[in-house]
Amino acid sequence: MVRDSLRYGHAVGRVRVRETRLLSRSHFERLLDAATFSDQLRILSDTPYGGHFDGVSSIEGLQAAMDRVRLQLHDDLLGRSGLPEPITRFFALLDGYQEARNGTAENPAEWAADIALYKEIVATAEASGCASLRELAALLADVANLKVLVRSKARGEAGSWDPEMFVAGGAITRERLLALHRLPAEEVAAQLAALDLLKGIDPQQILDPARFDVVADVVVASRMRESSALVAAGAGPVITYVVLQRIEMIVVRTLLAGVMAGVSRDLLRTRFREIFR
Amino acid sequence: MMDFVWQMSGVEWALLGAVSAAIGGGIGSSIGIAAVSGAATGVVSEDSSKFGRLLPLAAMPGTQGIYGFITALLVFIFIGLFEGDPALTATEGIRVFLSCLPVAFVCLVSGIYQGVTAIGSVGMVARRDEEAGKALIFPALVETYAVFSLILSVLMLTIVTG
Repeated sequence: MVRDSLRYGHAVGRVRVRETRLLSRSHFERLLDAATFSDQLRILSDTPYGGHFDGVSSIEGLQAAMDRVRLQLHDDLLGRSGLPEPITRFFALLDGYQEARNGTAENPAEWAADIALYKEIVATAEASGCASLRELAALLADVANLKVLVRSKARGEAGSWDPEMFVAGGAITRERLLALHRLPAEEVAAQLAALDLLKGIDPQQILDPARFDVVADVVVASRMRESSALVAAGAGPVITYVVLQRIEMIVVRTLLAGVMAGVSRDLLRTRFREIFR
Repeated sequence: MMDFVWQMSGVEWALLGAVSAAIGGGIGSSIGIAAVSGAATGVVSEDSSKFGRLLPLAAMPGTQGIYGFITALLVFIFIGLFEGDPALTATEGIRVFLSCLPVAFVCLVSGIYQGVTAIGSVGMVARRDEEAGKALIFPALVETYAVFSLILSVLMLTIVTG
């Protein structure tokens, strides 16, 4: 405890202030209700995102601006808070993954290429000796496996899969995932909804890959929040903040891009129901 | 080593006690301040307006070092170190040494843990300025036991040096 306090004290102090600057539910509501992209930028002007989207007029420009925000977070907080190297490396790997692929792989061939990276992420967490990082890696591995499973079922695939198609390191075993994959989609959703990880989630949401992506992010955020809620100092609060910030960026990007592209508000609201709840 | 210990004079035992109190308190305070200062500097680097509210929290674990210093000073005064060459039997010296142990151990541990507790308080101040008063209370509770140990050491010193 004392060693963690000394090692992570500075980063925890920074994170405690930054937590107060995370967007609230009302910010998300206002972003969703905003009539135009300019209105959204006005809402974001008094938040840490203010100024980052000046001159942006296309989805590509928005993505580039959001990448800059993410890199700034990485350089500023993770790079200048004296955090141990495995933690910065872990998030750098995730950043690399996110840059290479926005979203989850749509087919098994793409997914196979991602597995090597997930292996590295899990191995980095294991080698770090940091319980919070290991917990996050296990959660991400579970979520990644479930996303692949859900996508496969949404495409109507059935039958047996290669066990190597699932990332190791999660709490849900490959055998369980393979057994789930052999079941019909509705039964898979029902069984997933009964998992401790997804308890309380509507099975219909689980079967919709786009909605499940949001649910999965919310699950990761809530789990990390729960485990670091009573921790005053240590890696937990820092890692949880970075996770929350990254999820916030995904939601902000989607809301901005959605309004820019003229996506219906109802569709966006449905997609982010878990966040607005 | 054991021979050396058994051959120590009363004054040497008393000085060992004084040194233990000063070292224990000093180490506890140093680690405690380092722990809470790390978090405080993190907060200030993001929001410099909180400096004034965090300073008392960062300084709080420093009291254990002061208690250790006071105890060491009292030993010097009680055994008459400033008045020339003090004469103390080995038994009297060991009593003085034992009198210093409460401060030496309790201040070492409480200084460290007060720092750890204060990190949580720094988090409270970071989130809500108005909680600064309440935030001081929790680390202050840890201080209680350092104060008890000082009182105990002073009482024991008073009694054994009569």
